[in-house]
Amino acid sequence: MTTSNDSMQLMEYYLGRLRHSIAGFPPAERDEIVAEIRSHITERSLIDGVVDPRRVRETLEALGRPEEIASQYQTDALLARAAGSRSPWLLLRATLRWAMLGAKGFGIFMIAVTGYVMAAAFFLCAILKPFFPENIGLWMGPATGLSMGFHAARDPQAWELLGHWLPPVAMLLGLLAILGTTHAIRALIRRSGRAKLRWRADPRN
Amino acid sequence: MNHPPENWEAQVRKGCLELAILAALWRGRLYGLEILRLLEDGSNLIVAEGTVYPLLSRLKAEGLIESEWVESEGGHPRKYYWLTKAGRQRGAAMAGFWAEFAASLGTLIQPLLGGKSRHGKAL
Repeated sequence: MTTSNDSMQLMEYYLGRLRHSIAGFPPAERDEIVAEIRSHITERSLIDGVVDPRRVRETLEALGRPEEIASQYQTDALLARAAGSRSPWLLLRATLRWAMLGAKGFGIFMIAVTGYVMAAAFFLCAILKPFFPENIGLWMGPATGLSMGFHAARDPQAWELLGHWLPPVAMLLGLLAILGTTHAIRALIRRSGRAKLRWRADPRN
Repeated sequence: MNHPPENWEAQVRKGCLELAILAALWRGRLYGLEILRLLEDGSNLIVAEGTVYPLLSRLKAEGLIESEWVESEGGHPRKYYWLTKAGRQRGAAMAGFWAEFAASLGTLIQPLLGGKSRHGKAL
């Protein structure tokens, strides 16, 4: 037998979990989200003006897990911030979250990963070239065609094209890969309409 | 197992929810629970009720709806929503697309329904 005191505690517990899951939001926005869900639960649980314990339970069940609701608020907020950001880390996090929601998000996440991994590989080549001058290079050979990277055992038929020019060239390519990927992901997020205007509407972001 | 994949159903529902909310608000201001009740009466769109609120927040961020807190007679506040001009335009455009889409798909899937009803629900 649930008393109305118990059901109030249950509601507060639910709202507490919701609040906790959107901890990263600006306080005003967080309060408003919690207030709206609180209003929903209260009104849906009323029978003749009194909160009914059983109805509270049913209402919370119908709402779904608070973490799930929070994650939906967060995906949109994160994408909105990402659309206005140049941070690869933020873009990767936002698109990863999106990837878990559907095929389109997954595709865009894969583009982001591919682009940034490529950039990282270029930087790694540039940095490691002085330490492994014989193994890292831009190789040209009949078997492999044109490729940049680390060859543990040298293919006797392949030759290296860049020599000392490799670090600056790889750095430049890495930089271009980062900028290109960032630009493309931002454009894709904006065009998707998922994050439209939010960051402009909220001056805090 | 010949049931439609759950994921597909969820995607269809999710895709239609935005249009359903814009449609619910077409006639005037409503608060969240009223919108939910309209959607529940008119369709089986809703799975988890909690999904409506983040969606409302996104539609507001997109400038399609506006909102305002109003104190109810019961004493607790309610957040009312209404369509902006952009929201009406988006709603009308989506409804137009949907009607055409549903009609053409409805014709196409007629044989799959065993010819049970020519005028019944297409989807």
